Amino acid sequence: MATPRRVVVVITEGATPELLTRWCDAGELPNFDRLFRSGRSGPLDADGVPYEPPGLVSLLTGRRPGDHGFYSYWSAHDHDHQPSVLGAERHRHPLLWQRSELNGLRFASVGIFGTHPPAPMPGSLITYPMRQTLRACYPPNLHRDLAERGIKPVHDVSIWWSGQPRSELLPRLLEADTRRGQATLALFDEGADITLVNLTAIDRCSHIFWQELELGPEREAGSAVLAAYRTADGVLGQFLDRLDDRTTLVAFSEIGFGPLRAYCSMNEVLERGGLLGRDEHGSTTWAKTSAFEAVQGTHGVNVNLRGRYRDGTVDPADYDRVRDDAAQALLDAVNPRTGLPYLAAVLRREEVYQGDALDEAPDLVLEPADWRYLPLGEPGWASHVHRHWQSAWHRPRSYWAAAGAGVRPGRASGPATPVDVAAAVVGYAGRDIPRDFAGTPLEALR
Amino acid sequence: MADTKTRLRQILVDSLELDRAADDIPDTNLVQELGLDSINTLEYLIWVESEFGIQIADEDLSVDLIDDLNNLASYVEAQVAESV
Repeated sequence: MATPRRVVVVITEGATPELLTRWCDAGELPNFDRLFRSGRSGPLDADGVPYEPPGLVSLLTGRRPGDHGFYSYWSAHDHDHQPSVLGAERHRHPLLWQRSELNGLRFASVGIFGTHPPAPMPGSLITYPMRQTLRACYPPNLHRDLAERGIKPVHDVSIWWSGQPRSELLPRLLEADTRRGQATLALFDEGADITLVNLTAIDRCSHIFWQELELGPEREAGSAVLAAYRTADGVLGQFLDRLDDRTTLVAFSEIGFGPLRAYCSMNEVLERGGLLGRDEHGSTTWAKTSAFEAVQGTHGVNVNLRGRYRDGTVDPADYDRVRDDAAQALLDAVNPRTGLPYLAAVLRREEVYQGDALDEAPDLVLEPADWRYLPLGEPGWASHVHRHWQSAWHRPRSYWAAAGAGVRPGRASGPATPVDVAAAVVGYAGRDIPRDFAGTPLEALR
Repeated sequence: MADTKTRLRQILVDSLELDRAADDIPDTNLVQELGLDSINTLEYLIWVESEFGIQIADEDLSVDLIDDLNNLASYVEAQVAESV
């Protein structure tokens, strides 16, 4: 019988190529540097809008966003216009550990959105809950078992950014990744064949503390963002040390990062265009609204379609006309901060996404003209998560890298997408790539 | 109730690795007294669930539940009684 092959996937969420290169060259990230030098790597582009859920669910399912339908943490269309958190019960396709092609393998998955609430699976699962809960793992006693070994993984929702002092927040964000790494290493050492972990401190620190990078190179050494990269580098190093002739490591980020100057309300643009109504308190008047901004991360605008929403106003026969009117109003709008158009393009959803879950996508997808000025998104959640405090947001370009068993050292120039990482995981595990997978194994990319 | 509170005190010490005797833990104001936060509170309650064989529902998670040992002891005893 052939020796089983093992795969580790380390998601360094938010890691951006420019900073990785700069800090590897400066000797700040010895393990990323080791990975890039010893393995194979290349650019990775988000499939559609660069947001965590579409990329992570593509990894879990091998399918593109147009097929899996996770365009955000929240649904883009809700009957009552209140975006609801998407849970694992919304999956249209099996997750990696539910696939027959991967039967017999043991999995460990830690901190990946799209896995909550937990369900029985062949191995160990720590989910990514979006609210405080005591039920975020499988087996149900996993947290207690780990705690008795001194390992206490933390959920991001337990470290809520509420404007607390940096000295309180930053150590907790970093500690969360350290603990995720400890938990994942323990599960790997117990024998998981496929191990997946999502490290989120780079993303969270980049959103909150990116402005520190703009103070000049002399201040960079003490920046929170660099501290988060160093923490991920430490976790990565522990896995690199465990590589052997049957183990492969894949690291990647589903998103890159760049500076943000302002979130811009597209609802204000639609209001000026006569497409959105408000009451005397500034709240949306749905009866006078024909188009509105979709939930954050989708970069979307929806037509207030009758039948789809409780307070829908647009007759289905008028859908195309209203969508075109909204697109034109958005394209014509000028950003007062720059004197230039907000948007480079306003695309119909079918121009961006294809698949069975197209109906879950927002009706229009906005392409920013300047990625420092981004659509605000549905105002309720934007306020709840303090979007206006952020100093950076995602970019489409990130990276992937692989090392260990079966990896041909070198550099691919063409960009991968998250579905290619899914295909690579299956391939490195020595199994046949499922026929319905959309991706190409990373090894095959030139 | 007294027995339950005694067990809860010991669980606090064990789960949070407190450098303090269980008997020294007061009944009230535990959030401030022990530095309970959104992270270690979950760790504590995971142990409480395990030790008493109960399930604490997400909607029951609150500061009031963990700030006062009397509240948590009452809750635990009610859950235990329900599960019998």
